[in-house]
Amino acid sequence: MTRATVGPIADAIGRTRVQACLECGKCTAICPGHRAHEAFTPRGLVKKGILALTEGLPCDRDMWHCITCRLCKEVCVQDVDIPEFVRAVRREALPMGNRGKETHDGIVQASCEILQEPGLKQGRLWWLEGDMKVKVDGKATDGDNIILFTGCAPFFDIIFREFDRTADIAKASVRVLNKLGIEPLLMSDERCCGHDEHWTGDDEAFKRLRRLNKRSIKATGAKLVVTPCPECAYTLRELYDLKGIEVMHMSQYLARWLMTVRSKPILGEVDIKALAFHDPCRLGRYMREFDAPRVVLDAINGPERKELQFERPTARCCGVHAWISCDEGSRRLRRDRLKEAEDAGAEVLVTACPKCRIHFNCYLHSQSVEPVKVKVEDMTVLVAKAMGVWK
Amino acid sequence: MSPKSEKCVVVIGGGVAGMTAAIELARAGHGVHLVESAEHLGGLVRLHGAAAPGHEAPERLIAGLKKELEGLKAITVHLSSRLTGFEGQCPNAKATIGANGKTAVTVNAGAVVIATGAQPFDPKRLPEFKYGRSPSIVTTLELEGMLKGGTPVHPLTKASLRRVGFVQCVGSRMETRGNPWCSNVCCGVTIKQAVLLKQRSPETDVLVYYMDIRTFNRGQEELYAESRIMGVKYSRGIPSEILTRKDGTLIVRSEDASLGKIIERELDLLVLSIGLEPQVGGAELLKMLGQVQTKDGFVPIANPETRPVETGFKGVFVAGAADFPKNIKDARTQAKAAAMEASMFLA
Repeated sequence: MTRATVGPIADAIGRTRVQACLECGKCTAICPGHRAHEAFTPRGLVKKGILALTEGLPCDRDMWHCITCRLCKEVCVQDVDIPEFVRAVRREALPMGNRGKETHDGIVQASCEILQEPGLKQGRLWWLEGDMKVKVDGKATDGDNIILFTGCAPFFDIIFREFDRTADIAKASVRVLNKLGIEPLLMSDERCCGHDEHWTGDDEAFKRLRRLNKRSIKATGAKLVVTPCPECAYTLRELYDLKGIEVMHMSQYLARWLMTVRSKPILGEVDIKALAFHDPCRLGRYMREFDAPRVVLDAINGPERKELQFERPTARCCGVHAWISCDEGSRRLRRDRLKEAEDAGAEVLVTACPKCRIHFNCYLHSQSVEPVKVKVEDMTVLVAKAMGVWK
Repeated sequence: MSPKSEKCVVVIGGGVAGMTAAIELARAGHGVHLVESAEHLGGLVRLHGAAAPGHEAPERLIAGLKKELEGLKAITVHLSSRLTGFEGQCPNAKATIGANGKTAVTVNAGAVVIATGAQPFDPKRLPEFKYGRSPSIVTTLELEGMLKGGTPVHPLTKASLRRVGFVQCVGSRMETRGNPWCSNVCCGVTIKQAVLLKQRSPETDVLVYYMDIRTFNRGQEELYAESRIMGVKYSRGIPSEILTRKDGTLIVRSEDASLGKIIERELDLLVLSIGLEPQVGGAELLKMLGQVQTKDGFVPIANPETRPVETGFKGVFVAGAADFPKNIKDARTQAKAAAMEASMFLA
């Protein structure tokens, strides 16, 4: 038996409570990665950790099928942090040339590499429309000023526009904030938040992106960052150490605004009979925010909100993370989730994550496995429509 | 028999441990105030419907203890009551017993026996088990009720049960969301229930999802082995995803860890073998008696080996599941020991 008693993986074994595992298999039974790719089992990975069979771990190719969705940690009886353990293994795997299988010919990863260049000039605000009120690269004039961190939606729009106009989410965010009387600050030099680099084990890339973003955010002097992307929200809030600057997901910002409105507030009306909410993993299991998006959706007149069979902390996954390991297996996960919405009687499955929407729309666009009638929408876009500010 | 002294013993909790302690103390010549928060005596055992082969039926056990209690004039039973005040130190303490809608009474408390028991874990704290979201998902305690009436049927359809699953360690052996300890009795309860289901309805398919089966009581391992021979299936692995369907059936997904394979089973009843934890009001009671709160919330023991029924607080003893979940035999044995110690304390 080979034993790794020192080194980063041994350190991760201690940090993530791998040795406390009682081998009940709950992680593997709920794991979407295993459902899509049988060769990957979280319990199997942990067992190698328990037996200190760690030398072979960085060569393991199956661990790239982990979606880091945290369903395993949610149900684990011993609170083993399997996604974090996977991240530690990936960190060791990268220098050995063991990488996840990139989707779309690696265009997203390539874009992200370009975004790490300090002197880069981006055209990331191409989607702004004439009547939108924003302050580009402005300074916060009073305590009320907020940064709208759009995330990668403007780039994704270009890559995936055949089936998902992702920039709509950025547009809707501006329009909704404008309707509330807010002129958000936009940063022309905003970079990828580094979420995917962090979870695929590329710490150096993550640090480069964090450094650039922190500089831009601090330069504005604003004390609040709002973003329609849960991955950005989680990364900025938990991994950036932005002292004194609050970070909120759009659903949290809108829910808070609704609480400050004195009379029973409504956000307007949409012509949908029934909708259901898909809890994105970063908003739900990572940020523990299950109520805010539901509060927001319930303030829209018209649709009845159905709950899915698997919701809140046990919400099933959209099937992909970090633009790796996407194939027929992961498409089945999306079919299952969309079917769940259909079975619940929902016309529209609302998510609050741009990536979830892309992944679901990709399935609906290709209908590669089995057709589903449900439509998919982003919460912020739906709010903009309800408020009558959508163009 | 009349009380030897004005100093009575206050027994808190009227389950099998409290009833046993009260009976023994009265027999030894002490006056006893037995305080029970519910309307009935019997505690958790009262909620159980059936006994394992060779064991006393819960109903008969409680009826027997009640009869004994009624024959002992030295025992005053206070139902729907709680200890609302406690002043001084045993053997010269004064205990106030309050009942709903009645005037509180203050009695001399020469000694105290805490026999407040444990309470069942609420499985709603573990959303993956979907308790409360389908009539087909019940707890072992609820199945006890169903076993009282003969052969259990499906709670919704009233049809005979085709496939039943048991999930072990629900709320037990958990680092977060539940309790870290093994609740001691649940494996025994499940094995007994599985055997009874098989005896009453041999065609019912019974499967137990477990992490480790723990049978350390006399005869229990033998019953476990027998249950396997009878056809009860055991799968090492706890389910983590349950799909509920409108017709009352469930799809239960687990990994069988010895096979390393996912098993998805259609069941018409899933029984959650829930653990035990300290009583909600336990901390308040301990504070009243002057006790320091323990880390796990159970009543403290002065020393597990040398002073097993003493709490470390003068004249206050413990019996039953109040200091840790235990079976009826151990609870009653401990109650007799606590009564003995309390009696010697007052002598």
